Amino acid sequence: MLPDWMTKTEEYVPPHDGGAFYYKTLKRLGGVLSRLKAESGREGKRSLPAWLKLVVLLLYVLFLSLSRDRLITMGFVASGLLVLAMMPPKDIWSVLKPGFFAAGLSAVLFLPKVIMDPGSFMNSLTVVVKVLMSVIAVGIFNRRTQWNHVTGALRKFHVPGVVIFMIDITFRFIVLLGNLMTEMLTALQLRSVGRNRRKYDSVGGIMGTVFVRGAEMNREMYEAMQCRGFTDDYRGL
Amino acid sequence: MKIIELKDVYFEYDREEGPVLRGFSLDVDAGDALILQGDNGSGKTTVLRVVNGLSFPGQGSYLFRGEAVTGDYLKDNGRAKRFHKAIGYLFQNPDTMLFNTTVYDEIAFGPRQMGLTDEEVDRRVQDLLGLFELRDIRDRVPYHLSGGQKKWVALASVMALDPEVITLDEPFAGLDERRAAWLMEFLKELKAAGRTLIIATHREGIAEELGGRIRVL
Repeated sequence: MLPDWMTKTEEYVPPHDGGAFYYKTLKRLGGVLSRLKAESGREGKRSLPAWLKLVVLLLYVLFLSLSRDRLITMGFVASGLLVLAMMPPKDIWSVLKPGFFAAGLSAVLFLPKVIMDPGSFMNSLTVVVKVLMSVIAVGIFNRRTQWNHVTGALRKFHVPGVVIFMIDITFRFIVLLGNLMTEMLTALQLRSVGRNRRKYDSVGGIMGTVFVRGAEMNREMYEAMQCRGFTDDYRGL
Repeated sequence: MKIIELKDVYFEYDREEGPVLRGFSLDVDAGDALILQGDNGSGKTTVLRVVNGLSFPGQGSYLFRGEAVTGDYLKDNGRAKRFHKAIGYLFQNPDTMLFNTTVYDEIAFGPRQMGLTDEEVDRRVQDLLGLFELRDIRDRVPYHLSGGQKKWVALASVMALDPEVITLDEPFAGLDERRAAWLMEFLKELKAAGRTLIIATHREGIAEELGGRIRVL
């Protein structure tokens, strides 16, 4: 029944191919997903309630952006950095990275102004620092608060249920589709023995499949909602 | 009393592939247990979709309690809610059914859409959390649970609507023996309580245990 070649032992020596492409893509994707999926273990036992953290975050960003006195701004910077310093090292870097990116971007935007008017350097620097600290504050909140607690906090502030629901569905789909993409990339990596000259074709196929699967999931979920009495008139949580 | 009647149903997803259901007829009495069996792709899920008003026959008719169920029939929100409250559907893939932030909210979704009071919603959810032994995970995010737990949450969320007819698509798939045995006992209790069961499954012996009948597609 089996073809002849299946019954014999094959001696196969693969041509050299680093495989770094799949490895890097998977690692990057896995990193993003693990951050999104972090459901437990983020909040300590004595962690503040999520609603209070949200209030503190909003007030911090508001007062930081409104402060005109450099001393007060430095006070905000110091308090932000103090909280950041109490986090585990790997978390610190992942909070700092988007902060540096945002600050770098705003620095580039301010560059022409500083060149044309060198006297505005300190003001521009203050804005860049404010951007840096705001993004760091959001990053700390993100790292220290479980997602379902964030939605719980939004409910406490009477944000309409349908808004929370949409945010949550978006978040869920990113995770589910990300998982699907990771699984497909892993399967591709396992089957790509030897040299694969058409890596980008394969990845394009995966992207297309994920897109189609996303549309299917969307339809299936809507049907599941219909079966439980949903008639486009969302009754809030 | 006939609760579900499919008469000469033709249904096709794709014209090139031809009809999945070809002149299919089915009668289900209230309190029946009907087991749908057949090869992969034989149309078991399609029958369940038609029964749940998710797909509509190209030809033939579907009557639920004597009323024709069509796309237009379900456009009326009140009728659609009554219809979907009367028929519960456990999808083959529980991931499809889980879209809320916590297990509690997932089970409460259906009763909330029905417009029940918060007290009644809470009573139902608490009962189901106890019945399906989900109390310890009530605040967990449903899509992070194990396969078996997801299936339990999905089933609990179907039962929260207290449907007369329960349709289940491969309910035993992916369950360990302990959970499968528990589910069998649960289905027997539902049958004894007069609920109508329509189950698509590859598992043997279900009809005998439930005292139901088999329909092979």
